[in-house]
Order: sequence, then C-alpha cells, then structure tokens
Amino acid sequence: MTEPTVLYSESALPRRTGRGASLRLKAASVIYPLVSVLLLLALWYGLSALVTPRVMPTPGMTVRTFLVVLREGYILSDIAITFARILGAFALSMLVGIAVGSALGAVAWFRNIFNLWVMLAASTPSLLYIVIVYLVLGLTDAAAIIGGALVVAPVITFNVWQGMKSLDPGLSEMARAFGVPRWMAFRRVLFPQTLPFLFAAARLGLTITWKIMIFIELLGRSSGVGYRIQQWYELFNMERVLVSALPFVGLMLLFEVLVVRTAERALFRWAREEAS
Amino acid sequence: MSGIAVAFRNVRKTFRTREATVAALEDVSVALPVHSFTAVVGPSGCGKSTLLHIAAGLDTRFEGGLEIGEGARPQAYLFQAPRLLPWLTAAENVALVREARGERRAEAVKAADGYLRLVGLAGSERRYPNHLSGGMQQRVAMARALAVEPRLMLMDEPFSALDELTARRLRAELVELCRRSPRTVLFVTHNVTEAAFLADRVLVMSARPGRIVAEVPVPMERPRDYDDPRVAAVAHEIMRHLDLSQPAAGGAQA
Repeated sequence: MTEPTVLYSESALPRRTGRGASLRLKAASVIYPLVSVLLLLALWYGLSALVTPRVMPTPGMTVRTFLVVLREGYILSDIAITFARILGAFALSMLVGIAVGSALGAVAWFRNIFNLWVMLAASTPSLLYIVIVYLVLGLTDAAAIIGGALVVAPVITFNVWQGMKSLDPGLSEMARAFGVPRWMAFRRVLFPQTLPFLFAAARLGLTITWKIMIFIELLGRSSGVGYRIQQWYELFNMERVLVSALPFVGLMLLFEVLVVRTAERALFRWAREEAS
Repeated sequence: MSGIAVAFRNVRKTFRTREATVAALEDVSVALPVHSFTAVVGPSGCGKSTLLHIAAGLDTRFEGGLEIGEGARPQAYLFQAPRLLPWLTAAENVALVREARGERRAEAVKAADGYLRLVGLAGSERRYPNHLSGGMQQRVAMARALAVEPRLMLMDEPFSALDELTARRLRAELVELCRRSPRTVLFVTHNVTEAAFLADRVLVMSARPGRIVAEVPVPMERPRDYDDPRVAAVAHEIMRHLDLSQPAAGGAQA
C-alpha cells in the first residue's frame, strides 16, 4: 500500500527574518510616518509665513487657541452632535443601499424598472438633495440625517450591486451538490462572498457621510461642527475655523485607523498573502 | 438492491438559446453498477458535464428516466476547480459538508482533520486555500468529497487543471482510496490515458448531440502503471472511437 505523499511542507516556504529586514520594517513603520507629519507641519509654517500669521495662523497658535476653546467647552458638544448625525445618516444609507442593491442584483424586473432611478439618484448633485429635504421637512435634525442618507445611498447601492454580480455560481453549485440546506448555504456560502463589498461600501459611505454632513449643518442647522465653521467664517476668524474643524478631522482619521482597519484585518485575514 | 447505483434511461437534454434549440444529450442509456468506476470521454461540449449534473440532481429538467439506487447516496462532487470557500481554513471547508448533514461543528472539524490526513495534508489543516498550491487545494476538495462518506462520487475533470506530475500523484491516490473503501465513481475527462488508467470501462461520447458511441472495457488489475503499454493500447482504442464520432459537428436544430 502506498502512503499519500505530501508535496510541500511548511518549513520549505521561504521566510525573510534577517536583521536587515527587521530594520527596514522598523523604518517603514516609524520613520516614514514621522517624516510625513514633519513635512506637513513644515508646509503649514511655510504657508503661514507666506501669507502672514494673521491670515493663516501657525500650528503653534492653532494649538494654543484649541486649548482655550477646549476650556470654553463648546467643541466637545459640537463634535458629539455632528457624530450622532453622521451615524444616523450612515445607518440609514446602509439600510437603503443594501436593500436596494440586493434587489437590483437578485430580481430582474426590479433591476429593469429601477436601474434608471439609481443612475439618476447617483448623478443628482448633493446640494439639490439637501435643499429639497430642508424645504420639505424644515430645518430639522431629521432633515439633516435624511439628506445625508440620500447623498450616500446611491454609492452604497452600486457597491452592493457589484458585490451581487461577483457572486461565484460555482460555489452555490458546490453547496447544492453536497446538499447544503438553503439557509446554511446563504449564511455560510453566499453572504461571506458579499462581505468585502459591504465593507468597501461602508467605508466609502462613512467617508462621504462625514464630509457631506459638515456641509448640511452649514446650510441649515444651528449646532454641530459645520455650523461652528460657518459662524467663525462669517467673523473672518481663521484660527477658530481651523480649531473647529481639525479636531473632528483628527477624530475621523483615528476612527479609520483604529476601528475600520482593525475590523478589515480581522475580517479578511484569509485574503492576505502570508499565512497567519 | 439490484446492484445498480445509477441508471440513465433514454435521457435527452436540450438547451434553448435565443436562436435555436441545441440538443446536448440524445438518447443516453447507461447503468452504473455499484462500486464500478466509469469514465466518460468525449470532445468538449458533448454533454459530459450535463450527465454529471443530472446524476447529481443539480439538473432536473431533462427528458427520459433517472434511477437512483440505494448505493448512490450520499454523493460527493469533485469539480475541475477546487471550489473551496476562501474565507474558511482547509479543515473548515471539509467540515462544512458534514455540518450540512447535521454534525456539530467541533466534531465536524475533528473529522475533517482525519480526511485531510488521508489525502496527505496533515499540517495544513488551519491554512487558508489562498495559501495552498493548486494541487493542495484540489486535495482539500478531495478530502471534502470523502468527508461525506459518499457511495457515489461524481468527478468532473478534477485533475485537468493541475500540472502533470501532481495529476499523476492524485490519480494514483484516487485509485488507492477507491481500493480501500469501494465506491461508485462516474468520472468525466477529455484525457483518454487518464480514462484508461482509472476506469473499469470507458464510455465514449460523440460531439453534439452527445450520445454514447462506444463502450470500452478496461479488464486490467490495479494498481496500474500510467505508462503501461496496455493502458496506452486502451487509450488508443478510445481515441479511435472518438475520431469516428468526430464528423458530427454542429448538431443545432431549429
């Protein structure tokens, strides 16, 4: 009787763990981001020197103002209010986008009728949605959230639809050939295939939502980061404009790095080249 | 039990395209005895894979009769591509088909490890398909097929996408696995030597519409040598029937 032979063993895989390689890794993870931030600060200082600090405050001045503003306290409630509106609009747009995108992918008559609607919705200027929703619902939080969701939903819809198109019929056939029950096939074979697309849609959706929400607030709300930017803009106070906006930018960046990237790594471990 | 696992009776299958109705299978009648190894060869598009689909119950829209005996379920399917779920480890992929039959996940994974060992993949149980070579992926697919303890194995050119060296190893292992626990196998291929090496008998099909034009028995003991002149002789005979059936090109009828 012949024993089955193993073609490859794990130890045969090449591995780069020399000292040079680890130093290079350190350089990539510490020095490059540091250089990147320093360059940005240098650019800021240069710009400030060019147009005078009265027009463009230096980073130092901005930080000092930030500390003052922090003591005044309004900035935290601004951020909290804007964040809540973003979450509301994001959740609503995901709900609509997943429902409509799945229907477009799965139901032929739905696709034939509403394909045009989605294209129309995607090419409508964001400003038009916001103005229309404010006119219909008044200058309310509900209007801000629905307006934001309307802007983002088409993008998510298209992403989910793309995900549906990329489903591998071969895997579904495999599941049927092995008699995998329908609900289990949906949960374990179909749904995981759409996950990368859902994730990409969520990521893109969140980015667009938070950018558009500042604008929505600026147009029709009297609270939040967008409103505050407008207030200082009308007083021509650049320092306060920057201090109103930058902490929020930083927060969203942190969210992207800590939450989104971590989730991505955990979810798509299997797609990475190196075995973990 | 009659000793017949699967029987096709005057099976006819047509596909409707926009322009015409194309006959894929025409009057196919064949019975697969329990524990027999039947290979089907024929030119591409002759309906070989359709035959497997019908036997598997994936395709129920055909004319004629299909008899599924006791010795045909559970069934396993091996495709040309491994068709593994890339987000599951090798063991989880194998375990899935056992979970589908109601086994608890922990037990299914434990059993999966055993089947992976059987196909020579001990040590790779926790690796993802993307991190395995094509040959190893097809071994995982083989382990998955074995994991349902199939009485009927349907194989659709499972080795044709592999390099020849790997394909030879896997063929030899398939023969060995079938010797250890006999099963009924329906094996579709376009490789005549592979058919002669593996099968008890080889069905030769014509181009569209696919019908069985010859039945070539392979009365050789196993294990066989892939380079044995007798295997080559059988392959030659299969080839002769294929050539005779070639001119039937087209086959579309309005």
